[in-house]
Amino acid sequence: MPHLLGRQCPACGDISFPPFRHCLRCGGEKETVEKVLSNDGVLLSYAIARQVMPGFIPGYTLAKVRMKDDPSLVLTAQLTDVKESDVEIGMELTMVPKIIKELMTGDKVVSYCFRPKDPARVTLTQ
Amino acid sequence: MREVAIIGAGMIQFGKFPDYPAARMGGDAAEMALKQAGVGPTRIEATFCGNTGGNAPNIGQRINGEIGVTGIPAFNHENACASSSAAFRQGYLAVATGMHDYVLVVGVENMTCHIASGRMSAGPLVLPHGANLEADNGMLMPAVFALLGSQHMAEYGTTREQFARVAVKNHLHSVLNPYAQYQKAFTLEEVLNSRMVCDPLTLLQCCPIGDGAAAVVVTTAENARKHTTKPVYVGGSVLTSGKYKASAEGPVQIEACTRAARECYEIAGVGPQDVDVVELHDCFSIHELVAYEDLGLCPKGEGGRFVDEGLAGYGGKVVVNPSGGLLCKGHPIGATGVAQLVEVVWQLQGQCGKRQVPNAKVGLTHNGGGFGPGNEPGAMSITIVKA
Repeated sequence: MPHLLGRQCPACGDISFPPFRHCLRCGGEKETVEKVLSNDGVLLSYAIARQVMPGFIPGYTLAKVRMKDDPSLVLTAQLTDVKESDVEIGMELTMVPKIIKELMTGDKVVSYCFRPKDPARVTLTQ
Repeated sequence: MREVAIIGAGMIQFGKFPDYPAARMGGDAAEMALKQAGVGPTRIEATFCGNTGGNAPNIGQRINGEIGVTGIPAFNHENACASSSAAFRQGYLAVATGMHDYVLVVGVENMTCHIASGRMSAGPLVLPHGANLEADNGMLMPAVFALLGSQHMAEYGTTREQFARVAVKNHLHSVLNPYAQYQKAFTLEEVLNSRMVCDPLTLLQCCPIGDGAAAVVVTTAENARKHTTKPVYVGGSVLTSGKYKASAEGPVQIEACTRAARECYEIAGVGPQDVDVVELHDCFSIHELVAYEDLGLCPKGEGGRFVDEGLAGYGGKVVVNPSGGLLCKGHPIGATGVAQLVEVVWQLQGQCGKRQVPNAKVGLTHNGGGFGPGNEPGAMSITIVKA
């Protein structure tokens, strides 16, 4: 199972994803090291995108996810494998890679998405 | 640092003008500002231009050419939606520090000219794959604010109707603004029932694509008094950046705004209660409601109540977006910062006719730019002016 690769500051412990090579909390000089993130988080906020950019299919749900590794680490990603009516702020989520769009070159783009941790709330998307 | 003042302000009506070149729009706005200032174009020593870079290289120089000026320094600023506030701050600093005595600041953007070549627009709205991780994941500007709104609703009980009321207010204001792209009022039902863009944001709660330009002439306070009986003094001009890290902790806010506002109030020696008129960055209705709190116009969490009770409109505590704001006046990206300033300057000069805010003595502009890692804003710029 793939994991997200963030970075962590050896001095203050702050974790960044997207990864930054210098710690944003300590300030410029402190260099960060690779940190494998847990794939689990909690849904903080969500929004359904209806008018979308080329290559995307309208109707996807964007989410802010508070990661288990650190309460100050919030990712933005798409939700997947869940019905609109089952989405609830505060619900537990887990990361799963999915194809989210196709570029004009024909290449498909895989990204990190989040699905409900509770199997009872999962409705697999085609 | 010297005291600085604005002696002339001008803008063209915003709209969709694919055949009106950006440099010409900028030149027309600059001419209006110079005319109001009573200053000839050759008095200008430097030009500061805000534009996303989507129009032409050296856009400031091209605008200078349109008004008959060459051979002077031109600074072309990109800071996403805060481009021309950032340009203004640089122009302000140039005069305050003594580098120049008379400068021109212009904001300009032509977004629709790209449609003919098959693109919606250029600049920060349409990014190539790989430029920004959030955008690659499908993040969109309306979604940035829908996410903020959704958190605000969960945390403070703010309702969809309260966000929509912001739009109703601004559409109502725009009816009296001949410079606005749209000048039509809508009921709460019409706003709520317009096409859903990104829940809870409906079409009438989102700013339009459009074109426009705005300009101001800036000089020392001492010079200003030679040109006009109504100089508008710059109390403070702050530019800051977001912290590139979203946070799950603390109040639901745009941290860069809270911070920039605090700094600007301190420099200007005024508090939120002293502000009479605000031109605020209502790219989406949600942004305005949250900004009432972050600008200190009302306590955190009470933005909904503030708009419900009419406190952000005429007859309330402070008039926010008398121009109709970005929602209705329009948001040609590079033009917005200076256009906000133009409206506030005109208000303080008593020039606004039917939409005049009575006794406007202190004005504030709030201009945010772009988003990046963590969905934090790239730039946030706040300016306070005084009559």
